[in-house]
Amino acid sequence: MSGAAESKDVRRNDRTMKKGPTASMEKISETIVESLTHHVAVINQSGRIIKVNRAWKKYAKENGGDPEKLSAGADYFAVCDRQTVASIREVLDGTKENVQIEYPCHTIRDKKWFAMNVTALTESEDHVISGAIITHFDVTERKVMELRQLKELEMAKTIQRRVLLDPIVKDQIIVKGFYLASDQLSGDLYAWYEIDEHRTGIILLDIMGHGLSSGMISMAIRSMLERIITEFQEPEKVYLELNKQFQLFFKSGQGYRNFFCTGIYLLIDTRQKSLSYFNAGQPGGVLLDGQQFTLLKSSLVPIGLLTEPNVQSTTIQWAGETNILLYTDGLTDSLSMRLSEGEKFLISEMNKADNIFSHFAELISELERKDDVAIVSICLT
Amino acid sequence: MLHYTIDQTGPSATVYFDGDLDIDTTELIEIELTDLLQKFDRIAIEFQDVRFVDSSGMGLLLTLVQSLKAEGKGVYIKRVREDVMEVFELLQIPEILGRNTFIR
Repeated sequence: MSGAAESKDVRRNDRTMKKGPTASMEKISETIVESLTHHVAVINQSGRIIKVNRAWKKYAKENGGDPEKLSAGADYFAVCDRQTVASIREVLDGTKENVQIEYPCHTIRDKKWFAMNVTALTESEDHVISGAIITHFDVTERKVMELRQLKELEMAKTIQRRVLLDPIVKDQIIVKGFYLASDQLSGDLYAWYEIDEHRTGIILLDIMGHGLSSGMISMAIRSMLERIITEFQEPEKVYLELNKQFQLFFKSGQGYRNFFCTGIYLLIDTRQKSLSYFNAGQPGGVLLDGQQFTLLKSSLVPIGLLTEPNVQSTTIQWAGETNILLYTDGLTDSLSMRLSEGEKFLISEMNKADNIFSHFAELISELERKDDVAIVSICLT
Repeated sequence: MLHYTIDQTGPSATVYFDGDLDIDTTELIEIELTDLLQKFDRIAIEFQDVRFVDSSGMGLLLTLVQSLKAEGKGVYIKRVREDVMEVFELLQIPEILGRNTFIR
């Protein structure tokens, strides 16, 4: 008898021992969920709310939410839009482990943004998804900062567009340019200046990187171009002056020892029907004189890399009506072509085009761009 | 994204690059790798699994190689893919670093 009684007591103690820590863990979990500042709700497979925490109830109350529609027992899908329901279902059916959706939730007093995170509620042993944990958290501070930055970038983009030069349209020469930035700002830039009645200097530069930093450098370089081109004119001298300016920019900068830009510069003389140029790391230059193609190949180190570069220019003559296309490597990158493949493709496209400017501007607009893209088209007669 | 592994034999090291060399690799190249390679006298950078190098990556590579060479180390870039080598040639990188830096 006593032996049986002892054994029963041991079993009871056993149960107590197991129940103790489990109950304590449940209590801790409950306390954690209740104490979170994120708004937490747990829903079952059909979207019915099983549990909400204190922050959830408080926010619903403060923002005029109907407690009955947002408390345990309510159908959460009934208060969500179709897209949100579809996203939550992707978690419930196991298509995704987690989804996050950002949404505005403005009140009369102020503007607020929230992020909703949906995570699968999974039984640890059998991995069956029994529901989902939905947390909402305030992302207003970040969102306001993002919107402010976006506005600043838009403004910078507008400024960058405003400094673009008008095309040159004359009897013997037509020069037009076109660019599209991959981000808000472009590191590609072009400019042209009439040096005298017959001579025009045309430059296309691609500043290293893209986005904000290269956009800033491009604007700084842009402000010097008119002086450099009209004062130095000849390709060798223009290269050396640009190189000097780059060296001055980054002389003392840390982490930018090898900041550079690639570029092509053409000095066109319509009276002599000649052009002299340098190409420092640009993929193209294609010149089409009647049916004859000439590639204006790169032969110089990119601008800014060497303190004492060896600079040479090339001079060529043209005879009949001539078209020239200058482009940055963003064009061949966006075409997903190697440089040599891109060259062949662009030559064949030039051959097809009646008007190379509109042909290539259209082609670029349709591309899924990976980098800034700029072109300059020059028609000589 | 760029990953690297280093094989070392005494004072020599071979660094195997795998991925794209672009602006995202700045910290990896400028801080991590530059420091790690200081203890070797001869360094080979295996480029066969580098599929893309943009202008920012090119600047980082130049800085890495030039700073190691300035310390008197032998630095070699090996097995550059043909399409990547086209970009290197376009930017005259072999002229800047020396043609003997590149080994097929």
